[in-house]
Amino acid sequence: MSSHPQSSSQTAVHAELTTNLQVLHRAPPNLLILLAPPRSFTTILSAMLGQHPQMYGLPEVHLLVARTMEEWWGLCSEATFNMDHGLLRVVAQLIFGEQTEYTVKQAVGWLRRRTHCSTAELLEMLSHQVHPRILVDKSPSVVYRPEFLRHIFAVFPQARFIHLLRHPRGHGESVMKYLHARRQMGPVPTSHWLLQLAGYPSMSLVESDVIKPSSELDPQRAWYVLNMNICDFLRSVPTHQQLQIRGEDVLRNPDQELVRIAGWLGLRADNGAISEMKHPERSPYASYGPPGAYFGNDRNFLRDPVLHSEAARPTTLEGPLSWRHDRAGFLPQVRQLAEQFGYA
Amino acid sequence: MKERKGKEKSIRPAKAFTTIVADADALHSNAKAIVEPLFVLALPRSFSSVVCTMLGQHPQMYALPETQFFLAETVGQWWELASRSQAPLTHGALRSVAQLFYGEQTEATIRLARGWLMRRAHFTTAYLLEEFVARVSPSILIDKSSIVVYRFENLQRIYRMFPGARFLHLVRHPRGQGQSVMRYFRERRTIGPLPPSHWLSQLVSYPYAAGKPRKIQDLDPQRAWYALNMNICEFLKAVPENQKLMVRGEDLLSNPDKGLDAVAQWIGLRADMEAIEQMKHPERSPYASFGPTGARFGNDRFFLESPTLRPDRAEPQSLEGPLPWSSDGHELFPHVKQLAIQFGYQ
Repeated sequence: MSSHPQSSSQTAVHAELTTNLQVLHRAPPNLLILLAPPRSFTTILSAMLGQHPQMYGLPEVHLLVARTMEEWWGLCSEATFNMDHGLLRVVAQLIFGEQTEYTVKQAVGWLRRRTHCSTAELLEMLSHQVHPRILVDKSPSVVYRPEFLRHIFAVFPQARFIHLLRHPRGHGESVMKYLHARRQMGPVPTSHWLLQLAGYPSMSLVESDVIKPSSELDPQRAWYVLNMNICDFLRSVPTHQQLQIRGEDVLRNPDQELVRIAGWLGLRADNGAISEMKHPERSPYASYGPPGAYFGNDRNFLRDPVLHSEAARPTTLEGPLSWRHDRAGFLPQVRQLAEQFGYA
Repeated sequence: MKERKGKEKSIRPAKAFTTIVADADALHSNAKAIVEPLFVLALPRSFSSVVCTMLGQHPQMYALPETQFFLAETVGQWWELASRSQAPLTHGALRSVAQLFYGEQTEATIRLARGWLMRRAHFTTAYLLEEFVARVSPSILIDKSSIVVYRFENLQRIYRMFPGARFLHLVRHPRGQGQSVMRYFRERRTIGPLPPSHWLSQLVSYPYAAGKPRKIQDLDPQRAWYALNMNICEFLKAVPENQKLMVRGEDLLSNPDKGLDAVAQWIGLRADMEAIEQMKHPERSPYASFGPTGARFGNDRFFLESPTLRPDRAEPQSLEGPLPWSSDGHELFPHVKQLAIQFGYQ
């Protein structure tokens, strides 16, 4: 069958329809989600990935721990940290062009006006705002609840996931160091995320919304449970949509690992792109924000946002744990999971 | 196609809040899509229709009729309020949607506008207003809904939802405002009984005590003048200085060149002769006449009947002497006088 050549007017109509369709049915949100327990290099890796010319790294927006924006506002008002700062900074930057005290104020209004929206819709709005870049989200709080993880995949079935790993010893030491620093500033409430992480009460998932931290602090329990949550969840995700990365490998050998990640995502992996990613300090969220949205990321990172390979110094699964008074070592399950992740 | 009334402003095609960014470098230059609106806070019968419409004729502004959106948190709640109200609360919003999203105000587009607003029942009213803001961008949207000022929480809702917005407190002399209210009240009663819940009843008999309507000889609009202006003043204490301005309506009407220039400069807009001249023609607004069937009003009835700028409406008034609506010849209360003096009246 011969095809009829299109007239120029038909071509124009077709082009217009195509444009309209693109507007009406925009490409699905292009999301990359980093999954990891808190204190697992998520901030630095997210900022590094976000510097790739075809990606955009968010600070901690904590959107996906709530279903609706109304619920999100409620969680923010109860949080023991400045949960809203990350999202306020993003809205100020992406919608109002810069992060100032005034644009943060505008961002508050912009978000309040969207109280009726779902959090996923909000993330989709941000994704469209940076289109065609891939939006990189990392909100470590989602890994506490398997239903949060399942919900992410339900609303973003095309999203890609990086399971970011950290050695359980390095992770535990970092948690205890951070908790110690936090205690210098005053009493830490039991609902504080750091105490819940360090004192996670069991080696199995706590189903309750309220975690009562154990008085015996041992962060290896949270390391195990939260990583297991992620592993269990990722069984339902197609293999081509997930990647496991050891954070230490990225910090020690960024060129090789960043090329691997970019290749997996189908993005540019040339020297220019990789070089950009080695400068997380260039992210608009790599320093303290203006009044009203000062944080939004790990404080240590905000203070010193450059790539430090020494942060990933070699460590071992053998020997006593510095945070345990009885000088005991890792529990067998922890050791086994760490070995599965490639740690020694 | 029906000829569109009034000034034809170039309104961009409908667009969602985002613009798809094709080039990563354009990421941040694409931002600043939202131009913060201007809210005019004024009591009913305070020249707000004519003043807002004048401001809306500036080439860089766009004035809506009275949408009354901030009476409610969500559009669904707003519909519910409207269904219970004796006043035509929805007319302004229907006319705005018909004009801005369907290109003209006809009986047919008003029907379409009704559907458009009903489909958005789950939206916050502020998000809906943001759709208007985006529609008229880069012009600054002007919203004035005078019965919003009856409740402090409505004012707080506006600021909570638009913390970057500007607020213009439009005032009128208490004697002139009172006379206008009483005239409107009497004319409205000739049409039919006025329920006690009607905004005009509440304005003349403020503070209205449910079930105990005042006698006609007890009506005194100066109480509402004081209480509602105080509502606005109290609310504005929370708003930074650079985001608020107080203007006497009489000044704008009697000396529009000077008054409009000052407002335009405060907002940071053009204040040239051409822009000022445009503002002196409120009658050119698409909302400066009666609307089609289904949305006849949306603005003050007297304004719709005679929408031109008439400086004589701002005749000088005094704070002294008996009030014409008072049967016993009483004057303005001392606290009313004091507030009026603060506003610059004599």
